[in-house]
Amino acid sequence: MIHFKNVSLAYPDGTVALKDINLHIDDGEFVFLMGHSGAGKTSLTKLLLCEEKLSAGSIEVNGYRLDKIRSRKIPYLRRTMGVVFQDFKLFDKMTVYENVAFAMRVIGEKNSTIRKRVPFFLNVVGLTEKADSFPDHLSGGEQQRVAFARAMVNNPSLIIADEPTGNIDNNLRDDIMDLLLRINRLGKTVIVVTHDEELIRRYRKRTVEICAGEIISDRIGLDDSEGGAQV
Amino acid sequence: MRWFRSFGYNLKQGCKGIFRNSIMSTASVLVLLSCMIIVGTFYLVIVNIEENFNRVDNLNVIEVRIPATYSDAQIEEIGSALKGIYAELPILEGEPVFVSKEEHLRRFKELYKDQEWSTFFDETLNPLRPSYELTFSGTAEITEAAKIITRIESIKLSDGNFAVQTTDISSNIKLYENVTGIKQTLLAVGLWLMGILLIISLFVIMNTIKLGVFARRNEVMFMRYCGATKAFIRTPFLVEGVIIGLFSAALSLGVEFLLYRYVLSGVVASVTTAISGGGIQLSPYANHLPVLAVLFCAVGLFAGLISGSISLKKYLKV
Repeated sequence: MIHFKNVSLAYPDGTVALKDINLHIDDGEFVFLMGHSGAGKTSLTKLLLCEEKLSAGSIEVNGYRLDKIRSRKIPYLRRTMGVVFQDFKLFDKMTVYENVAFAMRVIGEKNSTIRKRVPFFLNVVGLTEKADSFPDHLSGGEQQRVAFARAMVNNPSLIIADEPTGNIDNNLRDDIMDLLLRINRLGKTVIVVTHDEELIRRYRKRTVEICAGEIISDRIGLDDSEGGAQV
Repeated sequence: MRWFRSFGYNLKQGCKGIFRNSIMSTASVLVLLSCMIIVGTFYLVIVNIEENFNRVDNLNVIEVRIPATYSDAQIEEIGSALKGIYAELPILEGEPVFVSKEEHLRRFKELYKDQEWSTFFDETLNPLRPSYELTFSGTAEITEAAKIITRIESIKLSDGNFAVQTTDISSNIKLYENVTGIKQTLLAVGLWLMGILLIISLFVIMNTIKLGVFARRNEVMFMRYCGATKAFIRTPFLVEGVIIGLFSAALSLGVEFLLYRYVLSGVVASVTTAISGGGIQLSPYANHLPVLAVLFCAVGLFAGLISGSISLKKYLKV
């Protein structure tokens, strides 16, 4: 569960990134976080990940109060989330298997657990055959699926995908969205950060739109004319 | 088990980091090596000077010679008077040690055992006199020593006669002062050089670790988002610094051994031949190994941990 109450974020140089944000996302929801460049999407994501400290208000994420969290607790908060970056951030010198296993190693998982769970998630994203390949030898879509496997392998309850359809063609976009919807059906909360209106029109999920640091709409789909409804 | 896994991971990542920036790692090792070799060489030179100095003569000992005609009672009376002087002059250390003429003969024969004429002397033909030995503080100055001598030579026996004469120790004190001066100069020069090189090595290791942090910035960012703890992210970089420090220490022990064995001993051999005809001796390297090992490891650990910590604080945001 994610709950933002009157949240504001101002950077030390005085720039106000978010103003009085109120937002509630239940467990298992699928939400598009939409906005143009500089609207405040990244700042909101940074707050979720505890990359930035909020200036006012309160945030609760997966049972952690981010306005009161101690720095030593932050890693444990982050273990409840999986992040998929726009540029995937796969490690070139690691195989697909090692890339996924790395996410488990850094939180101190046992080798025996890693040996069980990594093949399972590679199977979920359909990359069992590519386990020993290096990222350079994979297509863009395959690389993205590795990134999803890596985000899910620690069994987080929240998946944040940053512009997952940013640089890919329509077929691949559908594959990625199918994968995200499957993840959502597993009971995970999914937040897709995007500025791709076409994607939102097509999938008609809850859409939170941010503009100049404020939430300007929170509805299903993109606009009422397409049958969307205000939440 | 978890601790072992982390230890293995940190060690592996630390080693990887060293090879990732092999040129900077080599530079770090070389600067630290120079630092340790300078510290070690100065230490060995100072220790050997001291050992040779102590072996050649007891320069801070005043020998109170007792005439051969004195009876045991008179010798004891002198001993008591000398003990009284100890209470008056705090630069005297311990208590007066009586050396019989038989002991003097034994020392004499030991000193000249290579000379055939030394065999002429024995218990029946012993021209040496008994004495008391008084040790004064190594830091005493000539004026202070002169006070002791005047005081000793003023001792009167119960029959009213002056009791004893002492050896002239002013040249000993001068020599002692000179050697102490040389030792202190060497120590100061060694410490300054060590300090300068240590600071340079701190900067070089800091830069090595900084490069490692930059090279792994994507990895570090990903680890943070995955929920890796601060310690988990930072420790491999610290381990890298510690490995560089300890490896430099081990290498320095080996290089120092070669220097000691082939260079320092060669220099000493040539100096000995030119000046003292075989008087200067180098103690075995093994005698100094424990001290050097502790010293080098301490310098290595200090440099590795301090520079690693500074570098991480400055360049690694976790």
